[in-house]
Amino acid sequence: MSEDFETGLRDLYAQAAAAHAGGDGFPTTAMAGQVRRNRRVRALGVSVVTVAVVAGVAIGGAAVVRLNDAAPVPPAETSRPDETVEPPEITWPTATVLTCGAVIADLPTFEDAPATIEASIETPTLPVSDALAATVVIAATDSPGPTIMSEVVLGMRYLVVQDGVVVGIGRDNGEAPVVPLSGRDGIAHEAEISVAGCDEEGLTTTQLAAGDYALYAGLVAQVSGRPDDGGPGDEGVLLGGPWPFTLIEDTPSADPETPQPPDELGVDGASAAFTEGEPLADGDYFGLLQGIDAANGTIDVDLARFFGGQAAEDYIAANVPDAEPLDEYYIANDLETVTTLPVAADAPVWDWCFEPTEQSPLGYYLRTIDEWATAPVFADQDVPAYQCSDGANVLRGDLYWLRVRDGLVVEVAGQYVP
Amino acid sequence: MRWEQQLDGLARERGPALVGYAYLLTGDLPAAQDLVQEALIRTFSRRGRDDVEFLEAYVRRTILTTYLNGRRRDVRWSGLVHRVAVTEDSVPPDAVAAIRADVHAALAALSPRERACVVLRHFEDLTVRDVAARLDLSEGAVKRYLSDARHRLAPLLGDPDHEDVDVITKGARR
Repeated sequence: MSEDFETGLRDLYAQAAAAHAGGDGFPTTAMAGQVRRNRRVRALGVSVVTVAVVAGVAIGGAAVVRLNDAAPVPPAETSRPDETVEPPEITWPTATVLTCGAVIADLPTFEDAPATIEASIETPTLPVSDALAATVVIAATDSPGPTIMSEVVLGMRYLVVQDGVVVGIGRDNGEAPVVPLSGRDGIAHEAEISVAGCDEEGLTTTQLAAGDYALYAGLVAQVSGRPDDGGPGDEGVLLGGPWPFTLIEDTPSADPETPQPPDELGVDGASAAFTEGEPLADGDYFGLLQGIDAANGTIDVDLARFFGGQAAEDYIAANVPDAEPLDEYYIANDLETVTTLPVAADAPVWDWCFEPTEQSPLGYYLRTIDEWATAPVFADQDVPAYQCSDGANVLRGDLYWLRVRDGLVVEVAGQYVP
Repeated sequence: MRWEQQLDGLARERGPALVGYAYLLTGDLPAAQDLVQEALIRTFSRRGRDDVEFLEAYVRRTILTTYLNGRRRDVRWSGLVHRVAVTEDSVPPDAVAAIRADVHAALAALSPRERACVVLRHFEDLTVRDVAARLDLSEGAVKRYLSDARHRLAPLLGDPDHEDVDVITKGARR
């Protein structure tokens, strides 16, 4: 790598450091409060569910706070070491955790809510992989009623509910409101909400199944301004909803110009198991391509096991607990043994290439085994051809799924790895 | 020294350096500040009180893992199957990037793993073996990431240098 590039890295590092040094610094008082809560929770052995995103609120130019813990920290003034006064600690009722498994009826909502949350879902029936488009309005209830303290307007959470229980969480892909409600009549926001389902551990790792759901929006808040209020004010949950919506199965692409390998090849989490030296039973195997003999209709592969998503985590937990899946996958290859496999003459070969669409950044280039054998490989090209529009110059990869039937490879699909 | 003082001292005295490091990963100043803040909280939430000497090292390591895990969470959210490519979010250059917009743009073209490998190798000056240890990867995988990164960076930086390029034909493996 060039010296100039490394100098550039150091320049960016120094510039970013200087930009931070010129700002307000970190809200260490609030951070310490969060640490205290985390330690307390850990000490109690309570599992705090991680939520993927909590939208923060920027106040007075302070850094936006985006933490993954159940009770986020509001921005706060930076403390100094000689300050000995303990910061007042807000005790968040555990039931206010707006997360997987929460029972809507049990949430400690305000009796006299200082604001309302309303939403209208643009298209209440949509495919499971689509995001909900909704207009969300937070409006102050009345004046001069209690006002929401800006310091604890922590950001909206979207809850996907079935039978009164949170079964999924929505993340706002849009520009979340970053202004305090105090002093305003209301805030309107165009939300684009991606939803994900809760798994058994309470993490949002799964796709919601097709079905009927209700969307809720929740905001943990603290209020002040009540006539006899001498303390920090009431805490509770501002809750809006339910807003019903229905998820339907995705419609497969009908575009004949964009061929795709069969959906089931390579997406079920793990490739088929095998024993070195023994014939392969029917299944979808994974291997590292070593060579192609188109004349004889065979390929040489170093068979391996591919694990994706949860399967990768399960395999690692059982076999290599110190490791971590790379971008949701793991390839186990204990023995580097080359196996020669016969390939059907009409077997389609799918090499991946970049063709960004709304659904996927990947496309596939379809080849015959003869074309596959003569396709360029990485080392042969000065400028790698990764775009689908590169056509025959799309690079041949080295990681492939191999569908085997009756001892014959009948279909091949390249595996992209980040 | 109480941990609160350690936290405050580390955030004040080493905060800029940590943010600079995180910026090389995120390419965005607020995101870098968020990343450091989260790493500080995670570090102090988990570590004992006798780890003062290595606190900054712990935080740097947590910055790295939080960055990579955060990217993995984002992948989960996208609902993509594992065969599908992961594209880096487009991060427009900010005021910080103006000083070296070319390098900022080049980094933005990398995947999170490639970016992490590049930062560890060419900013922290770690050996390939040390990068592998830091990221829990095989040395071969690190070489592959660095090789892929160099190929992506070359058109942007006009880099004729071929060190680290040890192109391997096998994929990531144990």
